[in-house]
Amino acid sequence: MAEIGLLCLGLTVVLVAGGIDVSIGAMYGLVNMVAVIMYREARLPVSVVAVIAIGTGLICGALNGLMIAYLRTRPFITTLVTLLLFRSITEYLEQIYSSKLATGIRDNGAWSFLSSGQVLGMPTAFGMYLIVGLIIHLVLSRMRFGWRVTAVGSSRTAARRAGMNLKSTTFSVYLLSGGMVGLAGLLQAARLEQNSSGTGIGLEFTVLTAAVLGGVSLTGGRGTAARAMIGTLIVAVIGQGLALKNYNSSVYPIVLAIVLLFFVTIDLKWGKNRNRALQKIFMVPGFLRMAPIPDVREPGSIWAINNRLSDSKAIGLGIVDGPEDVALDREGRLYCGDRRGMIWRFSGDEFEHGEVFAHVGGQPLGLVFDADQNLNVAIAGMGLYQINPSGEISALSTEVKRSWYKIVDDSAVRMADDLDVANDGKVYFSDASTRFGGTEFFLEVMETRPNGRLLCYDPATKKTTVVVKNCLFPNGVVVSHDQQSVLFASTVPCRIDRIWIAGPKKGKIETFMEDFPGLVDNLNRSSDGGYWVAFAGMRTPTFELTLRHPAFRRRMIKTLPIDEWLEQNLNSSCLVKVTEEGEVIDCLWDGTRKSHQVLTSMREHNGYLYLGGLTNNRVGRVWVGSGPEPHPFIDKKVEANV
Amino acid sequence: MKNRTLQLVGELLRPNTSKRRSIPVFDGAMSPNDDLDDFEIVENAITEPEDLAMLKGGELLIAGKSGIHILAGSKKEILVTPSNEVISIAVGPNNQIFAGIADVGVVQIGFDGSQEVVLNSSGGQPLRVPSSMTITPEGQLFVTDASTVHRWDQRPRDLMTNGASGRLIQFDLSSGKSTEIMSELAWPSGICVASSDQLVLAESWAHQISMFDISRGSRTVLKSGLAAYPARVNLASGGRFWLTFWAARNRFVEFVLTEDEFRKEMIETIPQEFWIGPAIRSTNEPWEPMQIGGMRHHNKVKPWSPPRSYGLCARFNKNGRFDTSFHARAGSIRHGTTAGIEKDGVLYVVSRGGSLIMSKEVAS
Repeated sequence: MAEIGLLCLGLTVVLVAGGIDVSIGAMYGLVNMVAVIMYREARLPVSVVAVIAIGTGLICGALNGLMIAYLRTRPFITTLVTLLLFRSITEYLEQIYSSKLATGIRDNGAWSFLSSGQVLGMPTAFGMYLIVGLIIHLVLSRMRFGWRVTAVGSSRTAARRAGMNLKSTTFSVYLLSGGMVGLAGLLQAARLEQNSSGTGIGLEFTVLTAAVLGGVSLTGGRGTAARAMIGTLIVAVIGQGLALKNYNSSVYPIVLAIVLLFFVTIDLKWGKNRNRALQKIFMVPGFLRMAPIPDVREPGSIWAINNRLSDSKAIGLGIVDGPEDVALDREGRLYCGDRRGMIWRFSGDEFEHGEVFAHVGGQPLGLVFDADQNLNVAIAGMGLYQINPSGEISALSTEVKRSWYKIVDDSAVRMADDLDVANDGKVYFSDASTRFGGTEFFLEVMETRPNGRLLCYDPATKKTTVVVKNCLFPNGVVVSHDQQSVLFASTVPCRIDRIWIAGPKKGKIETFMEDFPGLVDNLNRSSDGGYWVAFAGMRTPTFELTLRHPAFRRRMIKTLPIDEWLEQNLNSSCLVKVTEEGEVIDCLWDGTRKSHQVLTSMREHNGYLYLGGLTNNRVGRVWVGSGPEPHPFIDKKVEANV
Repeated sequence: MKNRTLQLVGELLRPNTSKRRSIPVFDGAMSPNDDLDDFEIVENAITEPEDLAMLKGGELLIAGKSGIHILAGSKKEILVTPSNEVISIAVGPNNQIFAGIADVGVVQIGFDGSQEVVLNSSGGQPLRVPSSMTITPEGQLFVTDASTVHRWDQRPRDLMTNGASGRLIQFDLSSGKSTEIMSELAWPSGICVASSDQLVLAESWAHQISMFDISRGSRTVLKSGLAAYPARVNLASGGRFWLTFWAARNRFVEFVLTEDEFRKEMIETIPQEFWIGPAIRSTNEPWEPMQIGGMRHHNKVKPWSPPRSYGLCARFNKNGRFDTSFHARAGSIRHGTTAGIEKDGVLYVVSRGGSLIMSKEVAS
């Protein structure tokens, strides 16, 4: 098995590079013959025999490589021809030496170590095989050479355009394959000391089956050492199984042929439809049963619909596109995000002067100023960024440590959503999904699985850690008034939780409020010791019915275009104020829906509330302070410097 | 689940048997426009009008939730307010007024406001949803009974249970004899005399219009696979017909119609007004279902978004070929167009969703 395994590892590298080597069987026979002759007839020291054997393999491999890489011949035909060549040489050698070899017996310690010694507590050949397997694995997956091999196998054109040397890479994989054959041939010679030219006949077929069965693609670019080893194991098991069951030895190739045919077909189909298949199974909608929706239509309830936001004054009307969040600096200037990947700054007593403060490249979903007047921004699809007062942008956090047990890479901060800065400088921010980034938040809503998390960036260590994992669409984040805890909202399950970051309960998570009638978005502190909560939309009975029917959602996603999917009712606008104890004390609506929908954020500043909306074309301002409004707008003309 | 798998395998083997999962698009003469939004408003103070008819003197009869109104020029008076909703209205050869009243039947209305029930059942079944009427010059009244299972206000339920229990009834005004001439219709909602021996029939859930031959008792489908739910049919000039559509079809609704388990639970657990399905207007209620395309951007509902309600009035000829259409797309309020009639080159259209009567001069 070890010999087949070594050949298979060599062939895997060739296959990954997009080539094929069918001469390995013959090459293996030749090396075996040369090694036996050198050992028994020439009576050379074992170390020299080993060098000559492996050297023979390398020369054969180099011949293949030279022709394929430099003379640009076809790999299959070339190696088919060299197969005949190597086989003929072996037969020629057999004719000359077979009679001489029949008698000569030689005993040697090093030789018997190769045949029946132990490495790592295993037979020498198998131990070597494992070591070589590990090396090939490291080379293919961790080293520049392996990556080049993969790149060449995936797309020669792309690899060439990336500046790789195709010829030397191709040459070296055949050389490597030859070296592996050399090693395998040496081990075979030591084990059996057989000088028959029949050694290795049909072996290329077994090895190819092992590689393909393990999952090494014949089309190149996909394959690992582990796959080759698994394939070898399966082929060996098939062989042993058939032998144990006393089947005729000719059954083995038949079985292998069937297996090869089957797996080559699968490889072809899979290689072609892999992306489509992955796309089809990537989304797995989950089941969620929600508590009954509080009826906002009930007269007299705290949720009763009113028009207190309807007459908000518009800032940046028609200039901004999708200001998800707003923030104000020390001088009272207003900052808001824009769907097109920038941040606006509005100044003037009516915010009539607009300018692009920074181009960030992604949609900003959370803005907050820290103590040094740096603007910290959570950008969808990018991560946590900081913009200093002069407009220079730096990335604070774009990745965390990857969870070792997850198949999908969750190291990237895919959907930084909202953030807040604690007094100690730590930035708490939500990453709504580890599976869907940027504008794909609808997919996250459709999946309704706890893919999100709450992260914390520590400026002292410049490291990001996961504070709470497995959150269902975490969104708004706010540090409590006493700096002891962080409140974070979960949009789809419509709840707010509290995690203690200091004090006796540090590290504990508890429910702050649940069963809101709307989709909780951003949170902010209010001036009177409570919190503002924005509802990006309202829960609907029909959507919550789909949450209880995951298979329905899966079919909906597959059958219908995204515009047809059912969502919660996002065409609404509601803002509530809650106390530190978790009690709703005020509720503001734009009942007419003429100014605000998908109301995602608010910021209280000097008695005014500034309102942002994910898809709106304005930032709204309403007076919520006591007494009459001090500076009503007289509607100055808006100007914008783009 | 097992069924779905078998169905899929069956479709793979015989692609022709696969269900049509998409819906037709508005194209050709039915290409979307905003013309209905440019119609002149004739009347906007009547709540939820449903059907229109024209008296011999040219006065407009408006039937709806608030009874029957007569509109003559700028003069408006209420003729009668029955306890139940008037859902259809027709004028007989001698200027008699017949009203189809929900859960009552066909009622003759006098100009003094008197009400006389002339037909309340046929074939042993009560006539509960007289959704439209037409009267021949010979005094034969044809009335569609939209459903024998559900009531008028259960229209969404009839759709969601794939209802097809409607019928067409012929009623002889002179003898008072009624006969059921067609049954198992999928919410028949419009009927109109086409010629001395022919009727045009529109069925909502079947999305089709057909020509019914009275003497032979057979019908031919003029046009099926309409992209919207037909409401009422009325005569247009030149032997053509005006067909109004009370809502447009929507791929998601059609998808839900294939999801039996989901529909069953929706019917059982959710108030009807918040169901998925066509509606005469978008109510803006927080619990109203929303599709992603219907999300407001820059304070606007995009006109191309999948509509919950829609306004559409279109003209077709006796071969079922459409030549003109007036649309009110998503975002407009002139939705739920339930009836349209033409008089002297002026088309009057009811928008039940917007509680409007609108008019436009149409080239004859």
